[in-house]
Amino acid sequence: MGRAAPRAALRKMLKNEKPGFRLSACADLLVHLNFLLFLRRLAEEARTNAFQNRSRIIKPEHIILAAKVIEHF
Amino acid sequence: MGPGPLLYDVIDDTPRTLMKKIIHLLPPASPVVPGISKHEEPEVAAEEGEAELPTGRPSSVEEMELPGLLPEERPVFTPFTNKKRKQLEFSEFERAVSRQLVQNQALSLLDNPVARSLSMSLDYLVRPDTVERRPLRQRAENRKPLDIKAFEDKVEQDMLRRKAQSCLVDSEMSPGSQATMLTSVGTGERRTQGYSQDLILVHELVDIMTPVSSKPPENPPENKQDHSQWTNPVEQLSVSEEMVVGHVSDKEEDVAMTVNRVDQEEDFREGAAPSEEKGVAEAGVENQGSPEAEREIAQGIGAGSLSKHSNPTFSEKSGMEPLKDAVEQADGLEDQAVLVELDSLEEKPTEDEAEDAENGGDFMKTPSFVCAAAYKQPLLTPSLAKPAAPKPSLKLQQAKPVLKYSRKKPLEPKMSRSFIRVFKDYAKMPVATESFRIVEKCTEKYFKQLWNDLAAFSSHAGRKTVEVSDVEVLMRRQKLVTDEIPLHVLIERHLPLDYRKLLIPVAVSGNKVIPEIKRSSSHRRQKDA
Repeated sequence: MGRAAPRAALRKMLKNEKPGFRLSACADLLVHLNFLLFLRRLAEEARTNAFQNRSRIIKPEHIILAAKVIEHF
Repeated sequence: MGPGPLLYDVIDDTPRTLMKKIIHLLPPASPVVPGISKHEEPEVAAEEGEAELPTGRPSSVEEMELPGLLPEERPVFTPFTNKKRKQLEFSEFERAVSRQLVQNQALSLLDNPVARSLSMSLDYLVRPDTVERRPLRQRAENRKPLDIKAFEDKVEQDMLRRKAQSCLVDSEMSPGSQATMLTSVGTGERRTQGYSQDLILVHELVDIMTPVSSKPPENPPENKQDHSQWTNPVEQLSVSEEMVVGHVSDKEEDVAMTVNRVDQEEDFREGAAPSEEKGVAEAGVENQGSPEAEREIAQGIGAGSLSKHSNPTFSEKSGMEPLKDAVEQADGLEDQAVLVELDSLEEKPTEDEAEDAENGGDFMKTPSFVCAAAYKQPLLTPSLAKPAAPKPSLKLQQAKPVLKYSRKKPLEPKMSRSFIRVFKDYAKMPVATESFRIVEKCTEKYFKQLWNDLAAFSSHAGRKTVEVSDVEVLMRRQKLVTDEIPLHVLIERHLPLDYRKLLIPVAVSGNKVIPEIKRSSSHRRQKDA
């Protein structure tokens, strides 16, 4: 997948939301991994929903359903 | 002939394997162990010859013992024996194990009991991790009972003081009391009991509560935690009680939220004093029924100590200005702002919401600083329920652009590009363009939770830097990393090679490992010669 993980963006996000915390060097890569896996789960769930609705494209409703199903933590 | 119901093969088992099995199976303290060891010897002796006798005894012993053991214990046993056993024994063992499992109703049988047992056993081990993490909340909540008493005492003292200071307070007391009772009750439900009592006291002083609509805390778990932290400072501040009016519920949430966020970094004790005051002041402001209060609360958290009431003649607007400044400073706000808030509240206990709306308009400019402390947008919107309609729209309009600039700009362009691509790849189906907006919202929410969790893990470890271990714990909790799927596998699957090298230690010639493995930061030097 030769995609660059947005490490600087991640660090800025953390700074905005939790001002006192920092990300260590490799932790942000793992966070990116976490994000990728989350997207994957979301996409698969949305795809399933789209199939169930017999539609050939993924619509916003499918994704909303998928997001509700995925339980975080 | 197989072992049958036995868990071992009498003929092919060596004494060593039998002993090892037993050691694995049974806890050292088990009363049955002596029985087994006794049986061990005769088994060894009669291994080849007397198949019947020793089998009879150990089998009964073991079978008796095993049901008593936790189901997880047996799985621990399995992988070890399997390595030494032949295929035949393994299958027989499997049968026996599965039978035992069924008897104990511990597990459902799988085709591959080994894997299942593996996962089971490890789950059993892993669970303590998550259990460990939970007490985070409990610790905070334990503080409450103590705080309340001191808080109440101080509240009473302040009440007396306040009565002496301003006559307004007296006039407010009667009408306010009823409303306060109601609100305090409502809030008390959400907060701990002690706090509601305090609120009642406070309410008696100020009369603003009427329109209060108690809303369920936005993030109840967060609020609880925040609240516990907050009650500490609150008790020190008697003034806060007076300020807390009507909107206590809203205020609490916000204060808790903001307090939590701001104070997490500081010492809880240190931050306690100033935060209390801020919280109180903000609470008072909120009571005016405006989102401003929330903002100020957030800002106020950094403010200095409240201790004195003064300047009853401050106007609301003037109060707002100092609050603005206070907000700017984030940490270490001064008393003035808080005092002003308090005073302004006292002055106009009977202000209409309309008036508040006006002032709220001025206040809304302050939120620009609020975003720095914490995200209040979600908090603010629910509190708007009480205030008039124009307020929320005003606030949101002004707040949005500022928030966007500070928070989203650096992130949106980068993140959106990558996740659109990723999402498309993973979906393998055409995706409508509107749905990308939904995906973006989802990722926002997801990241918020993510940062919160990571921060909680790090602060639990007493660190301010989020480390690899924190993220790993997070992934475990999310069931992304299990015993069957270790972290390295995920890394290899999804990340490009350069990152892999960084994350997975690789042994290189010269007794070096890249990257360096840290046992703990303190032992770093000792690790590699």
